[in-house]
Amino acid sequence: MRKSSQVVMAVISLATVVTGFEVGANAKSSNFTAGPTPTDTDTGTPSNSPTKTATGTPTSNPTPTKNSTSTPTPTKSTPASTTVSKTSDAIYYRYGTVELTVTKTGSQITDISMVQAGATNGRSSAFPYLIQLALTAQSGSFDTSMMTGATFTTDAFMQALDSALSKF
Amino acid sequence: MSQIAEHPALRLVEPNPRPKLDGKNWRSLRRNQDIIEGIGWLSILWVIFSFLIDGGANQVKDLQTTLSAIERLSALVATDLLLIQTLLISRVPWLDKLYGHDRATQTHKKLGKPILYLVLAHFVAVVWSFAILDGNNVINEYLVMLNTIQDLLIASIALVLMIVVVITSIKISRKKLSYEAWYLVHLFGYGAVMLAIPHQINTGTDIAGKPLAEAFWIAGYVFVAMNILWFRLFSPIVFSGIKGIKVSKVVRESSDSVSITISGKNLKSFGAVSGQFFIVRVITATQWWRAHPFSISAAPTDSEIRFTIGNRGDDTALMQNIKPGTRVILEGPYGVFTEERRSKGDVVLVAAGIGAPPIRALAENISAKPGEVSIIYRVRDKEDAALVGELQEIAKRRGFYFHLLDGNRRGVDSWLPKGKHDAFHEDQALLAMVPKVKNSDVYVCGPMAFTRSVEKSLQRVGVPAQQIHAEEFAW
Repeated sequence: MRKSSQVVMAVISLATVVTGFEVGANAKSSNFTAGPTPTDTDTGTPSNSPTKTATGTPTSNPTPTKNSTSTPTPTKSTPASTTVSKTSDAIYYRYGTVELTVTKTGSQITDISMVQAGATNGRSSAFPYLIQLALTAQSGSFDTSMMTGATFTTDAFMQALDSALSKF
Repeated sequence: MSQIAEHPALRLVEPNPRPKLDGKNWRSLRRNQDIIEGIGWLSILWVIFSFLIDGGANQVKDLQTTLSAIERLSALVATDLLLIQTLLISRVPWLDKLYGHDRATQTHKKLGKPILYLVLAHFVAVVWSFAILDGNNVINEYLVMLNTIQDLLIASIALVLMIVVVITSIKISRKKLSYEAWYLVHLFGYGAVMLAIPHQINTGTDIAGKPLAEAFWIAGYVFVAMNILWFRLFSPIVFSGIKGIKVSKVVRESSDSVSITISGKNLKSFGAVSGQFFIVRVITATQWWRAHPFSISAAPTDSEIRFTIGNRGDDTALMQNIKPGTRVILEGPYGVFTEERRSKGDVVLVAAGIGAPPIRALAENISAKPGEVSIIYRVRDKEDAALVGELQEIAKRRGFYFHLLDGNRRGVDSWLPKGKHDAFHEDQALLAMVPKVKNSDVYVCGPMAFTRSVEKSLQRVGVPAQQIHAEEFAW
C-alpha cells in the first residue's frame, strides 16, 4: 500500500475501533441481572433481539392460532373442557438440548413442563423463570428484555415453545 | 549437439504495438492494489467493529469474561483471514492481474501460521472459559461441550485438519514431502474451512441469531467458493473442452528439457501474452489429478501455445515423454511478468536455465527498436541449453544485444559464471553488458538463488524497484 492509503486506512481503523468501543459501552448493561435466576451468567452472549432463534428459523407465528396445523380439534367451540398436551421438537443449542411439553386447556396454556432441560452447570435455573413468563404471556413470544445475558438458553426455550405450540 | 542449433526458419509473430510508457499504468496498478488491500482490511475492521458494538470489549471483567472476549474476537478475525487466504490461492484472474501468482502465493503462505494460532487461541479460550463457568476442568469440559454443543465435533476435526495442513507446509516438511503428497494433504485445507462453518453459523455468539452478521459471513463464503469453483474448476474444463486442446508437437530442446506445443481453436480468447504461464493438466490415467505450472515459451497465437518444460525429476519427468494427441486442460493464463508492466523504452531480459521460456516469448514480440533490448542468458552448458539457438536468432533478427553466459557459477551468491568475467564484480559486469540498465525495465526469470543475486546487483547499481520484474516459481 502507498503511504497515503496507509494513513487513510489507519485513520478509518482508529475511528471505527473508537466508535465501536463507545457504542458497545453504551448499548449494554450486560449480564444476567434481572429476575429470580441470577446464576446464569452467560456473558458471551448479547442481550438484544430476544425473539431471534439460534438457528435462524423464523419465529413468525408464535401466537397459538387454534387450527394452524394437523388435527382439527373437535373441541374448537367447547370452552375450557378439553386438555391437550403437545411435546416440542428437541432443540439443540450451545449448552445442551431443550425439549418441553405444553399443556393447553381450551386455548389456555395451563402448563409447560421440561422434558429435557439441557444446560450445563447452573444454567438450567433459567427455565422456571422462562416458564413463568410464558404462562403469564400466554404466548410463544414474550418480553425477555429484563433477563439479559442468557440469550442462548432463552432462544432455545422459545424455539422449543414455538415448536410445541405449532403442533396444536 | 556440438553446436548451438541454427534457426533460420524460425517464424516470429509481429511485435506488440508500442505501449504508453508514461507511468499511468503503474499508478493505476498501485491504486487498484490499494483498493483491494483496503477492502481486505475493511473486512477485518468490520468484524472487529461488530464485535465491539455488541459490547464485546466492555464485557471484560474477570478471567472468564476475558477469555470469552478472546474466544470471540480470535474466531472472527481468523475466519475472515481464512477466507482471504483461500481467495489468495484461488488464482482468480482479478487478483492475479494485480499481484501476480507469486505474490499472492507468498501472502497465502504468510497467513497460514497466524490463522492457525488464532484458531488455537479461540479453541483454548472457549474451552477454558466454559470450564470456569461450569467449575469443571478443561478436559472434562471439552468432553461435555462435545456432547452438548451442536457441530462441535466436526469443528474439532476441522482444527485437526488445519494443524496437519500447516505442519506439512512448513519448510522442513516441504523438503521431505513430494509435491504430490503435500498437494493431497493440502486439499484438507478446503475440508477444514468447510467443516468449521456449521458451528459458526449455528452456535457462534457473533453470528447465530444476528441476521446482518449471518448475511456477511454467508456472502463471504459464497463469494470465495464461487471464485474457486468457477476459475479453478468449471472455466478451465469447459473452455479447454470447447477449444479441443491437444498436444500437437513435442520437440526435445536439450538433454533435460522439451517443448510441447498445444493446439486448439480460438486460443486467443484465453488472452495469454508472452511472459505468462498456464497451469497445465495432462489428461492421462495417472496424471489427470495433478496440474503443473508451465511457462509459455513462444508468443501465443490463435492456434498454438508452446510450453518448454525442464525435467525437475518429479512429474515434469513424465512430461518429457508426453505423446502428441494427449488431451490437456489449461488453467490460466497467469502472471504479470509481461510487457504490460513495462515503464521504460529500454528493456533487459535476464534468464537462467529453465527460466528461459518466458524470456524467449517476451523477446519474440516485445515492442522494440533495434538496440533497445538486451538479453542475458545464463546456462551451464551452451551446447545443451534450452532455446539458446532461438534466442540467438531472435536477437540477430530484431537487433537485440545477446549475452550468453555459460559455465559453472562463480560462487553460491553469484549470477555470473566462472571465466571471462572473473576480473569484474557482478555489478561492474552488469553495467558493462548493459550500460543503460538504470533506465531500463529488467525482467528476471530463473532459479530463486539466481534471481535474488541479479536483483541485488540491480538494486546496488540503482535500478528502481518498480522497473524490476521477477517471476518466481512459488509453489
